[in-house]
Amino acid sequence: MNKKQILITLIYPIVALVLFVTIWTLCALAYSKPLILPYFWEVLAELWKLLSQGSFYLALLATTARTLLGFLLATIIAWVLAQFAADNVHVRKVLNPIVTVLRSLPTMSVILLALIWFRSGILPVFVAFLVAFPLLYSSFVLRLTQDNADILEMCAVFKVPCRVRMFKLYPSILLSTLMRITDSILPLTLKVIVAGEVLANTVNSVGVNMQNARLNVETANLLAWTVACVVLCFVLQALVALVRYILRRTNVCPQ
Amino acid sequence: MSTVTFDKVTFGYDNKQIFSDFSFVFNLDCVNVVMGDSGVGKSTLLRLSMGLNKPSQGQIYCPECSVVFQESRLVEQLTVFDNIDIVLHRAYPDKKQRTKIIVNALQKADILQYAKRYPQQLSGGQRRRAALLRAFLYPSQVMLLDEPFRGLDNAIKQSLAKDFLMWYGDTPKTVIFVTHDVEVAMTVGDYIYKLQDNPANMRLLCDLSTVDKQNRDLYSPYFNKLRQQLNNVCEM
Repeated sequence: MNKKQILITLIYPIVALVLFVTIWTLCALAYSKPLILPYFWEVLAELWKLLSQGSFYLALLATTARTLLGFLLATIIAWVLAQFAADNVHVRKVLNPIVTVLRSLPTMSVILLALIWFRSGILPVFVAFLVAFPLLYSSFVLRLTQDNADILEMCAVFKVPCRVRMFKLYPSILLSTLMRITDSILPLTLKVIVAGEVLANTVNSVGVNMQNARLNVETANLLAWTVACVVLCFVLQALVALVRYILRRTNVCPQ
Repeated sequence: MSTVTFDKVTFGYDNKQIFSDFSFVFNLDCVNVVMGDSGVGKSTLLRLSMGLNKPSQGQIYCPECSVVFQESRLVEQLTVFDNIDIVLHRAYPDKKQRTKIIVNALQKADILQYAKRYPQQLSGGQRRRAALLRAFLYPSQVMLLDEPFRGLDNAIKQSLAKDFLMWYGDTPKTVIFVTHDVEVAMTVGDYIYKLQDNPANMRLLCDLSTVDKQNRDLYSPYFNKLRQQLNNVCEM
């Protein structure tokens, strides 16, 4: 990438950021109630304060761990079930209505039910699983049975054994699918985790800090935690991009 | 009986009857080329043979078959080597033996350097060559090819047709080769048929079984005349 390309790549996000900050500042000026809508630099100052606190990093780390755990659980179960569903039409037909119901569940009702069933540490992970699982499962099954229908036909004609399909063919297709959809599902998982933490008052979490800021009407603090969350989301996406790059470079996953 | 036999087969899609009471026995251990207009049922004939479509009436006998589809149907996420490897697992459970067979074949086909590449890193011709090799390595009595060289330029078609003859010479089997291409048909065919009409019937256009496939001069007066005839009959 030469200097001109780097400049072109950076210019649009910079313009977007400048535009966003300008609109924010104009709104804050017009509203003129810093308690309700603080200025952008006030939020940055609050974020700077947070950066010097150990509890900030602990909360971020715990939320990240819950996000990854929820996503990992959903991925493993969706992966295994999708493989069986792709291989057996009866399994697919049984799982389809279950997944459709899970996909239609209102997130809030799941969180409220989970509040009754689980302790606050597990609740966000459970909710994230319920949100991410149907999305992952549907993408996996669609990829295997529709996008690769001709490959499944080829396997039927060549009588490719079940264990080869299960341990070699499907995993290779699903790995490339996972690499494509993680970009959209992982940030969604993070959002749901934070929502769960807010309602469950999970200790050591971004969500509980947001809730405390709201209760104390510390809007700048609440926005600072929000900015931290957005940055965390970017970091997670960058990590996914790195993993994708490594898999491509090492020829493990071509796409 | 290790050839493909259609016995009073009836099959159709929604409003169109493709085969009605269709009976035909393909010639054993030779290359049966099937030509015909688009939509007449050539691909359906192969899908019925493979068992991917079931006839509404009648019976089809087809022993273990290998296939080359119109598209290469290589798994994009597997290397060329693995694409061949997955279809050989059942016939050769021993990994060492399988690897030896694949490496030897890739070497003979002069594509060993592509063994670790993914299909999207190959040209159209290389992908078809890999698909052709996969079908030849799969132990079967019958081989079905559905316009395997479609969309390629003439030089690559002829090169692939020669590869086909080379591998076919090593492992003769009953072949049903669907193509629109007269040159390819004359290069590889022992019998050239035309699938025609609706419902379809099979008509023998030419018997080349006595002409050695390995040494055909497609520009000899005999083949020039045959080319003209086939072009006229198939209206291509």
